[in-house]
Amino acid sequence: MNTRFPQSLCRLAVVGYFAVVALSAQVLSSSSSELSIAANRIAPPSVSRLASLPESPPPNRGFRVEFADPDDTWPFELPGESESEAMRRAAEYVAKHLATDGLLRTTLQALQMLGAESFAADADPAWMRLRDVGIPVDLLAYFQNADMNSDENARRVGTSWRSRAVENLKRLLQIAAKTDAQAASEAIQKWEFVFTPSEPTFRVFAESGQHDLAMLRLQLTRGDYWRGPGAGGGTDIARQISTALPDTPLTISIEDRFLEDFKKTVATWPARDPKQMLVIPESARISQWAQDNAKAGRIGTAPESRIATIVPRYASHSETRSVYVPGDTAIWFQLRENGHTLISSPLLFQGGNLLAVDDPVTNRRVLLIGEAEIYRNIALGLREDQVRTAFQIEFGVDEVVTVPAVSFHLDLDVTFRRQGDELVAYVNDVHAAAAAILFLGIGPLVNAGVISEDVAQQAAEAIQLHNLQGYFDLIVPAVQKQASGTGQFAMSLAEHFAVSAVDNPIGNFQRFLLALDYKMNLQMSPNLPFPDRVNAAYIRSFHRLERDRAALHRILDQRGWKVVPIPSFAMAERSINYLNGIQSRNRYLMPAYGGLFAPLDEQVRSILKREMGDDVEIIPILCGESQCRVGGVHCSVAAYYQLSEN
Amino acid sequence: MHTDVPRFPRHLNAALKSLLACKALYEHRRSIRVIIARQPVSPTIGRMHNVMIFFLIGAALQAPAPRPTQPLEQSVEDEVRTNILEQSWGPGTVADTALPEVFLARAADREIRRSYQDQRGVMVRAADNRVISPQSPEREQKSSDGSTDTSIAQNSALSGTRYAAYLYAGLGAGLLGISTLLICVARKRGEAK
Repeated sequence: MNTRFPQSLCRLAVVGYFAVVALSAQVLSSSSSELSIAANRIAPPSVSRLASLPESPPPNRGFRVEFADPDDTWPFELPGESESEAMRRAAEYVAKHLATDGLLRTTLQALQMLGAESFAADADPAWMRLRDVGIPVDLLAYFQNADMNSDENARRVGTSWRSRAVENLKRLLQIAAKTDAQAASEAIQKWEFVFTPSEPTFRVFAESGQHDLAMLRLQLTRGDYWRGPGAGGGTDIARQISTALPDTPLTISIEDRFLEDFKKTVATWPARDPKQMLVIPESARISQWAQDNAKAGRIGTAPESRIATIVPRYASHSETRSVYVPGDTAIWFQLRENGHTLISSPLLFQGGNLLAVDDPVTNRRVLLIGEAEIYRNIALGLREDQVRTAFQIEFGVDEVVTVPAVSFHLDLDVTFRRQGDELVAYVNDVHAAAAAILFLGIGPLVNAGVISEDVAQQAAEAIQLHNLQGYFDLIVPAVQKQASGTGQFAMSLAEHFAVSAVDNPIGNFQRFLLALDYKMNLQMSPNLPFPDRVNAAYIRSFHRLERDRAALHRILDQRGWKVVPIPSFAMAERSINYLNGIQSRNRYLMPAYGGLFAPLDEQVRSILKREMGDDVEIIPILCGESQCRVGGVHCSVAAYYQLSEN
Repeated sequence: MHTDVPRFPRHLNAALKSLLACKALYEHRRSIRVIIARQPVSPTIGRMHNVMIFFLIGAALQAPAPRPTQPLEQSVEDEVRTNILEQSWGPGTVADTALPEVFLARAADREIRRSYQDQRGVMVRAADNRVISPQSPEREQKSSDGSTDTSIAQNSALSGTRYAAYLYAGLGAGLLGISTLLICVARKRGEAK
């Protein structure tokens, strides 16, 4: 047999293979070099200082990062041992009274403790001292004496907040120096709260899906994937968005130490427009939550309007205290260096707890605020009504509505879409989602040998017939047998709850257990006298959660908005949340979980498609790992919209 | 890692669709009868449930039924609320920030659920009984109020593991001591001979 031909064919194949490999490497390397990476400009010392501060609640309650003048550093700490006794006592007084007594009263008292007469009429040293002891002196700008004549009021309009605050401080100095505490208290009662916006033309974007996307901003905490593509970490979300929306520019902040990894990761993504992505290296450690350290909007009037970003006093996390996040604050300076228009607000907020929507019936833009954002600013010495007014004016909306913090941030509880002449609020139907999770958990239990196929069949039928008790009777004793006395389960059991290498077996199994807890706890009366106080509190907490969720739905319903429940399991670290997505005119970037729960993703996608209409493309973005961190797509991505009419 | 698609149930999508599409479940829950589950899932709930049944039977046998009295001990909710309020913030605490009760209660409930779930349903590797975390190393939670301890005082879920570790360490040390003693005795006997 003549073997020459096949041999030469083999040689040709080998040469061809290496040629293809070389060509691929060339393509990949050229793809990598296309990545537009902003220069990592050396931050001024003041910015480096901000990035090096601890991730903790600022001891100085009035702390603010005013990046118009970063060298004018606001102290993070309070006066230490080297400072006078009067300063230390005043600092303690401010910390304990600012929220309850209010800004003006606390300022007056602090001035008296520091010796108001010693400042004479010189506001500068008083300003510095008050700032050092924790008074948010900038907020003094937003008060005015009702007795002032109209000329004086008119003169104040257009002056900077700093000059208005200094002016008011001079008045307070006079009051504090000349009058006793009672008279001073009466004097400031005539002062009114008159908030002026940091940027008069700023208007926060409505996130109710009327407009096309103009740009998306993300923050990545690593350059490669956690587990792999599909697991749903931050880098994986960026990959999916880049692929699904190749025409939408992305601005990505990432720590510079992960930059090389990220270049390699991006090189594996499908071909795309090289201009799509601007990568901004950061020196400090940053979080994934681009939604929380700012809020997107526009400034100016058409046709000169442009997108802008409003930022709080400082980037923060947590709800009962505002914990400073150094890296997420430092990001602002690099964004500004790269052409973003930033507005520094005196208010404190986390963007995920603010959602603006356009009500088509009233034609008003409404800002929904999670209650934590109100209390965050009350801690700065403002009253509740003052906070609401300030948000309304600062964000350029017609109305502010406060809603209960059901699942921590508002964007975990609801997403809005303007559909024709009505505004639709999509809300969590945790019961439906829990039932689906219980249903999907049957398969792994069979595979693990925990239940037989017969039992599985019966359990599946029971849950489809809404016979929860039947399901519990079949499944619970079997699952219970797998646990040790302290509630520990073998990893070998959890592994059956993963269906791929990137699926999270523990996360999936814990979601299944929580769905069981949730369903069973709500069947028990919260008033039964349980002997175990911890379990009893756990059970009661679910009942209160349901009550709060119902209250939120009532608030939305009473606005005249259509409330549509969507199977979605909003349960902190164990969520499978479908509402934490991004709306645009013809798309919804739907958070998806994937893996074991992919069938639920698919069903919810079809429900949303039906509800939102054929014009809307539902794009699932896998974010399971991010959901394990109490985030999702909306939490990870700040959306900027096309400027037409927005 | 199990990489195959689970064998059961077949026609999953169709079944799930029927489960979700009718929305009956959502309506159903509103009219659901309060039933005490006969077989609670987690071992803790299981034990609690059993104790509860004895408690209820015991209570039913007593005549006349005693009026429920206010428990003397602080409720878990109050305990967690107190812990939140006592969190330091500069020279003051969270209590100084005038948070309303209703908001505090919601924050406390989140903490109760987180704390409970962190200690139950824990996964351990069979080989070394080591607890495995479900999240990535760079995990950063949005609601990291847990950075300081606001959680309820509970026995650690690891207590069993720790107990076993201490037990084996003690046994090992004891065995070593006895061996040493035996060797010494043997040597002394040898020397004596």
